[in-house]
Amino acid sequence: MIPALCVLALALVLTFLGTRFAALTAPEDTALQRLVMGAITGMVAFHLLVTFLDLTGLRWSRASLGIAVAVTLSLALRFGGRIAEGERRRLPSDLGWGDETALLSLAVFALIALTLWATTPDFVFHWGLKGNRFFLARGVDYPYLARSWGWSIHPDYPNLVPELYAASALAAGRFDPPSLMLWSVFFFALLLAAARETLRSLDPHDLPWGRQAGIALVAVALGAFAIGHRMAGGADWLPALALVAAIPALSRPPDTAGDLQIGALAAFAAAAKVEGVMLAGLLCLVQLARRPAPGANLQSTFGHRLAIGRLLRLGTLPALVILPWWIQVQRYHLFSVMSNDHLTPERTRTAFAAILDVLGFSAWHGFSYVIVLLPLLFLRPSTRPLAWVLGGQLAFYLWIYLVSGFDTRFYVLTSFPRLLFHLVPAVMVGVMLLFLSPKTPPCPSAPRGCRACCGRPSRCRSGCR
Amino acid sequence: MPRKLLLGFALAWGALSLLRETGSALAGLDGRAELRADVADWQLGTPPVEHLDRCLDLVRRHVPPDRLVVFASSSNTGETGPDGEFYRWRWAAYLLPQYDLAPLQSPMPAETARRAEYLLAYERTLEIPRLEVLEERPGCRLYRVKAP
Repeated sequence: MIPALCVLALALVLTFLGTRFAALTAPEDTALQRLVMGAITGMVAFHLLVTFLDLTGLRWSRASLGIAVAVTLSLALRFGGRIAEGERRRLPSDLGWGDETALLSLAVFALIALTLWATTPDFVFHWGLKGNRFFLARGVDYPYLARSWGWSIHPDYPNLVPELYAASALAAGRFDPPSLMLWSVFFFALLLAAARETLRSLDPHDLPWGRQAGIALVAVALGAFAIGHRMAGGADWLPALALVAAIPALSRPPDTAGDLQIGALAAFAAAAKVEGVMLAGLLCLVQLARRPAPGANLQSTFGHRLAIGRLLRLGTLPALVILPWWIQVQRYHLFSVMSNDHLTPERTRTAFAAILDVLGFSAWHGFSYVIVLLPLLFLRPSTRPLAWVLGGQLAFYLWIYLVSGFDTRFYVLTSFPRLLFHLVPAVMVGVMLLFLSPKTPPCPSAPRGCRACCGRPSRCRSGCR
Repeated sequence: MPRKLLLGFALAWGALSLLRETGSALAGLDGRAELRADVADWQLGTPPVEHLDRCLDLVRRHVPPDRLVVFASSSNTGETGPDGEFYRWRWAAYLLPQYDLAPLQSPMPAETARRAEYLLAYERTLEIPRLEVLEERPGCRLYRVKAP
């Protein structure tokens, strides 16, 4: 019981810490979106703190971690800025049947995850092992990762998830796998909250139950896969969460808060997995390539897109995550031997045959096929940036399969179901935004903050109310 | 109308999928005590893992933490063929986080041979002159590696 309470307490403290950074809140954001961004920012801040402790040679302990978090929290409270109070700061109390279905799906996953029956083998093979080892070593144990036989634990991976496990174990005084599964439950809850708030931009008059059906569908489809394919305890939740949470910022014209949010989400993805480093790059590049809204106050030396301010807002957090990781990987020679090979017709055929098999994987129950709808996201300007990010990430996965010297079929079958999990939730939400929202363009005359919900000229005139 | 139908069908299918996976997981949990899965499909808290864990008690009892222990097991059992030894080694490493656990087939055998002080053989017999038996149990033997 105590280890579980420690996980929940740590998650709450980090969320509270993250919500103190007012600049990461867009005027359009609801309270739940603010909580999601807060949790993500809090985890990024935690990762930066433990990385700082590692670089300075300070061992992790309840005292060192507690002081580091307390000092950061004090600084955030002092300098983090103030968030305007009001209606949009209240957590939702109007839960619909879709929200209740999502909560039920989350509860079912949580109960099964706590029994360890839905625990991913990768928790044993690397995430959990690293977490336990870091807990015992009171820090990221680079010499252990650098052992010649350490290739099997992906020593080059960023360490946010094992760090969260180790910190939870430090707080509880022991490494307790069932309670650590609560981190996956937490990530799932954040993902559902992010999806819910994104789907709230759908017009409630156009398809009254569209929002509720949308969130329920995301919850049951992901819940089924997470139980069937045993996703608890792994890190694949994090890129999936980063992508879903990025949809609102990618859907509206770039602004200061949007750039900061994309920067934080990119840092979060980069701290989670090697694939997340690629995702971080894509998120930042796509956001940077977009033309800011007129009057968004993003002008600077090099024009709208390459303004120094924008580069800093987008790139600072990802750079703070990626640079120390890169330095340590180089210092300890941690990069796994990715036996690169040439692209051959034979390997291409094998890879695509295996990919088709994965799309039909029983645990996906057909929802993996939503990935073939990805090109549709290019059709509408609001979903086009998301489409570029998702398309780039999918192309990256496919390229790795096509040039890797591993047994291609085995490689695809054992990893692609999980990699699809990064993309499918965001594609599902994006496709629902596309099909369930009205086709009329948003009205530019509407007050800032309600353009997204403003699909009808009559409602534009009334200011979206 | 087609949007409603499509969304309704997808939702019903998703709900059924969740029910099916939940039922399957609960059935698996009920049969957890009898699970005899192939090593690639082992799960925490199941008999094969507990059996291996009992063998690893030999290491916990005789070997000080942070030492290098070489792990060897049969390489040709189960349906996973040669990968069986790899998976058992990874499970053993998870269950013994306080030790450095190297596989017998190490990528750098000279380094392993030089540093190794102990060897654990799980469901495997090794006849190597440099090995001295410290303790054994059925299917499990802990050796000390003598200096060459």
